[in-house]
Amino acid sequence: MTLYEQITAIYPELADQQQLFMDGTIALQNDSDGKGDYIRSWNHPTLPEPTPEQLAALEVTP
Amino acid sequence: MTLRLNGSTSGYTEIDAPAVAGSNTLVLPTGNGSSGQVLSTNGSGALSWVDITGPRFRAYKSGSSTTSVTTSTFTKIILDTEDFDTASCFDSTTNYRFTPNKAGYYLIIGSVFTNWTGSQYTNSTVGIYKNGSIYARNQHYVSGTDYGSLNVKDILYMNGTTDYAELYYISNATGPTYDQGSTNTFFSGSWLGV
Repeated sequence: MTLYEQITAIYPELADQQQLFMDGTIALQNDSDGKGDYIRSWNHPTLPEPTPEQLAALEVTP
Repeated sequence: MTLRLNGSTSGYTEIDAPAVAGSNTLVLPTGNGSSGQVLSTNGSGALSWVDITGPRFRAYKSGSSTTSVTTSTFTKIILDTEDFDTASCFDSTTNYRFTPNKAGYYLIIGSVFTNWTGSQYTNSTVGIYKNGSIYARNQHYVSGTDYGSLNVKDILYMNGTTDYAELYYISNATGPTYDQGSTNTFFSGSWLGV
């Protein structure tokens, strides 16, 4: 499961708000350095950034 | 008044003043400058040698297949092969970034040949990043499954020491990829001036 899939599993409503990922409101990034995807910034007006515990509860495939 | 310098064998070179000459003093620099440099004035008559060229590069993603990226994730384009890199300022092995060693304004161009699959409208964006943050982008909003080149270009001021530029891509389609090869996915730049 990718980071994007993890986040949309935690917040299913974000799957219908993909522009938020495109415009950087929720910025997921991969620097092609082998370290995988990460949350660069999270500026959603109502949903809090998922905690490491929430993300760790889901499998991650970088 | 003309200053004439005679050749040791024949001919001469003259330095002449305008007919209405005013009162101007031009002070030559102390050194001979470097190859390709030209004389520049500070506006007060002090001349110095300055460069009229700077770093230029072009890099691309090698191969003849595609590279996958994660949906809805800004992903740095791997640019692992250089066509040219006049001042060795592009890192094509680790960070895939251009860190020019000369301050000034640079024209930066990026192109990503993308492929995407979707049953509804999808967004794909290619962006120039400066110092790790997006600086300029070009976003396409299209329907269904499609492919094509996304291009972005802009002028960036780079400080010649720590500033760097990179190329990123993002798509909210299912299974987005970008094509490898010199003509498909590339990044280039050239110094314009100070």
